Amino acid sequence: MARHTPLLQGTLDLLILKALSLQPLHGLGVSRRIEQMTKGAYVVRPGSLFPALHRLEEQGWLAAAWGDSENNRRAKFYRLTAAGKRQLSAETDEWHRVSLAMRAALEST
Amino acid sequence: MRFLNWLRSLWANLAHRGRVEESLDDELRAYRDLLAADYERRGLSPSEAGRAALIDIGGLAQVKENTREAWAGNAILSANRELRYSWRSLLRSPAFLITVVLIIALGISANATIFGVIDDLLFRPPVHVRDPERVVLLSMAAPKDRVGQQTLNFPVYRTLRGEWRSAEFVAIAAFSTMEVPVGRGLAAENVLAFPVSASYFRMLGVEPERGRFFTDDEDAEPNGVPVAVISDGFWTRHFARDAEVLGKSLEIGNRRFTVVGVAPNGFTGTELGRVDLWLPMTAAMRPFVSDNPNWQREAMGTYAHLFARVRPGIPLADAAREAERILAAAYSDAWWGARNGRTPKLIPLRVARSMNLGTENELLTLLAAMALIVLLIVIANVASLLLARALRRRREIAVRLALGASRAQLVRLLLVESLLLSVGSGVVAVFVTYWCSQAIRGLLFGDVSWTSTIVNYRLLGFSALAVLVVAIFAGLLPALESTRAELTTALKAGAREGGGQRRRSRRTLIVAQVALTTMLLAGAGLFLRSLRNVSALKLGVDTGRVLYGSMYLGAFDKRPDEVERVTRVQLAQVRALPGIAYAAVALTIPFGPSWGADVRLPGGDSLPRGDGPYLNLVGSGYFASLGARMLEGREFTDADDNRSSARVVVVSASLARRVSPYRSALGRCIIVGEKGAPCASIIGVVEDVRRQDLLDEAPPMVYLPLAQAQVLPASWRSELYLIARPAGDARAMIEPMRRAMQSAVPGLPRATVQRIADMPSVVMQLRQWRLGTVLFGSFGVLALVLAAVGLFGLISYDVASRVHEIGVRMALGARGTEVAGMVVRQALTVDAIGVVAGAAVAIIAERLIASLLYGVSGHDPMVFGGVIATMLIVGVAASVVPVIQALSIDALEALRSD
Repeated sequence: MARHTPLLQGTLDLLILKALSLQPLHGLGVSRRIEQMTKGAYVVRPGSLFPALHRLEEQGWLAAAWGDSENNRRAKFYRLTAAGKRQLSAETDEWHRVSLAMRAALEST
Repeated sequence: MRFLNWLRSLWANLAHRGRVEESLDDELRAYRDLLAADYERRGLSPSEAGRAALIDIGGLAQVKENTREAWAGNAILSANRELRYSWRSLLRSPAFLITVVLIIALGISANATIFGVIDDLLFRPPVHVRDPERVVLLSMAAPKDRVGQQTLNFPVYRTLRGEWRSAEFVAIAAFSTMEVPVGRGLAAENVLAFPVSASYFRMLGVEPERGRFFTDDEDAEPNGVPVAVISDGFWTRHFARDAEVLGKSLEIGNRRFTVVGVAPNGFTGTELGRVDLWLPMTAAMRPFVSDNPNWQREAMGTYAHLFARVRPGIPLADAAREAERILAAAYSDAWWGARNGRTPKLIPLRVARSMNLGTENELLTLLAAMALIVLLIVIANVASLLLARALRRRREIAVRLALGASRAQLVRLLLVESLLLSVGSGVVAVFVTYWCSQAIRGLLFGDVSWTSTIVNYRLLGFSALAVLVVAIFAGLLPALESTRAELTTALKAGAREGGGQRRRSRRTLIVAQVALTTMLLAGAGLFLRSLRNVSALKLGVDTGRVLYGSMYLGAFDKRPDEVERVTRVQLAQVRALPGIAYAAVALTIPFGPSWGADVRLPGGDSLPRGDGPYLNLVGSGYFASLGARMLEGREFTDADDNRSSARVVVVSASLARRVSPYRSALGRCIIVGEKGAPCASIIGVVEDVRRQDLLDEAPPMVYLPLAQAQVLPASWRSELYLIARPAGDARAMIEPMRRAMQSAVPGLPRATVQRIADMPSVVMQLRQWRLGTVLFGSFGVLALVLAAVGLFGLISYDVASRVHEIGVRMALGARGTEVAGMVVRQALTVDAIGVVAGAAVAIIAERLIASLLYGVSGHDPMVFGGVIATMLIVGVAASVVPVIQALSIDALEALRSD
């Protein structure tokens, strides 16, 4: 099994937004997508996934609707709203800045 | 936009809770089913797949709870849930609920009551006065004086009125309200009048409710117009709020004053007490305040307050300096010469009003501090009760923690519980405060006209704050302590062990409580001793048992001879009353006005006039009526009180010592009055009788028979007092004596009859110690009960949690006395540490109250010994029941349980 890396504070929201940037997904889909995107480094447990999804929805970055899943089961699908897209790009930029700065700091001699 | 979203979710979460919960259930079920379907695809059987999915999820309830916490408005919902939970759990232990609510309510109302008194006396601006902070009282003060000489006179007023640029208005007013007689005969009454200059109302910026205030013409020198402004209360009482009151006249003395206006409801002007009517100074000064016909011209006497409204933007110090320049330029006479380095000082009205109340700010501050200590005790007490309760619920708390409740949630739950208790107590406290304030206002401040109602917004705000403070401080420590449980120990150990740290916190709380109680009791003891010292002073008069009666005959222009004749008729009536043991007539009485006199030996100079000698003219039986002891000789008889009889005098002990230091003064001849006056022989020496001040040594006094009173100007004898000593309860004789005086001659003004102890000047002098004793005493008793409850709780809890240990000891052969000794020793250790700490702090803090005590040192061994003994007795008493509990432990059963 892949090595699990503890999530950095605040990265879960970004990962969820990113996971939903291609298509709407239900809860399990989001966690699968995150696992896949991070090559198995992150496994999001439902205990943190659902609170995050609900919080992001309340903030207006996600919208949810009930639909049918791949094997015809009803499930709640989340999609990125316009505000969510803006938030994703803002957070992505921020993340790049932070990681560049961190890399520079750690590689300096 | 985001906010709108949030609001929408909030609404959905709160209003459609069921639907939201259902949706969450569906969502999680779908998640589980999808996961299970995955596992099935990978080859697991449906039941295995379902189980594997559940394991992956790791507790549906937990996930739901986490998600709920992310929802908007969750705090409100969970608080609501916790409230209901706390309420139910409190209702399950009603004894605990009632105890805690009572304790908190008493603590809060102690503080709220004191707050109410202080707020009203010191911080409420006088009602109907515009910008009261610019209204000042002018006093003459040396740099070190806090207050200085507050009375001035009419010429100073006239000078300042004309020249003082810093002041917008200058006004003169009587030193205090005075009782004046209105009407005659059966309908007669005495009312409180306050002579003021016409500028007084303009200076205060008040508007009349009806009619108008005085015009300058009505207050013109030398004799103003007899008009009156009445208070709203007097309008109601005397005129039944007659709409046609303006123009009606009031018979005050032998003059008729026309009502020209009604002051707004609640207006008392510069006074704290009730005022019934205001009269123009020039029309009412004589004869009500002074008999001196030259009072408008002579600057020597001081008898009136000077008030001013300082112009905006001018500092008080500058305005005072300007007044000093003006007065220095205008006066070079004896009055200004005798000012002894004193210069004008401007005291804001708010301060000036409460100054003469007999409640120094220090006392009120001290009482506020004591009330805060009571609150601290209450907090410590409630905290330890809550802690004990939380510890009893340790298993429940441990189970909750194990089931995934976060510590923050549990702390919140316990805080909600203490908040619920405090808020409930706050409501009870409002009622208790109302009752206490009413008692204090009635018992100790009967003469004050209060600005605000007892329950007002400030008081409620203050109480709410106190509620919050109690809730947080009393709730936080138990909440933090009890949720710190290491899971397994608490679960395994049950309610028996694993609480060393917690027991320590509880013990600390009790020690603090005992210490604070010790301090309060020491304070109460010191004030009680002061009050008893003051009450036990040999005043020369039995103030609680002696009645005096007076009538304003002078105000009716009765000649002195006529006054004397009427008074003697009254005396005969009073003496004839059953229940009156002695009665006499006198020019003045202790704590009444006083007259100085020249006393000399034949052929010698007069004795130096320091404080005394003072003179009184009395009839037969005066000293017996007062209760003053004759040290030598006898007092006057009816035979002495006669114009033609031999000249005789009675002197006080201190005057006797001065007249005849080495042998008895009896039989010596002294001259009272001018050099040429006849010599009178001393027939008696009486013990010293106080003049005006309770605490000061009595000055030398000389007493003459009333009928031989040629030494005094006739006009001084326009008022006489009756004095009487009932055989039984003095209060029961007040009304009979008044009626007897009233019926002596038809058409008289109303007589005032009261005990000397109830004279305003006596009440005021005693108020400080009465207030201190009553409040300290009730705080002390409250604290004592709380400390006892706290100690008892701690010890009995200790015994309960050591049942096992005590059982082992008993099984190993410990005797009952040893077990009892162990329990008592423990109680006394906690008690003693607290007592020592409290006594130490009290002794250090003694300086703070030393100036408020009388005749007792701040570390009085009697008081401290008594307090320590009381606290130790309480310690032993608190361990009686726990000892019985400990002794009734059955060793076998204790070992078998758990």
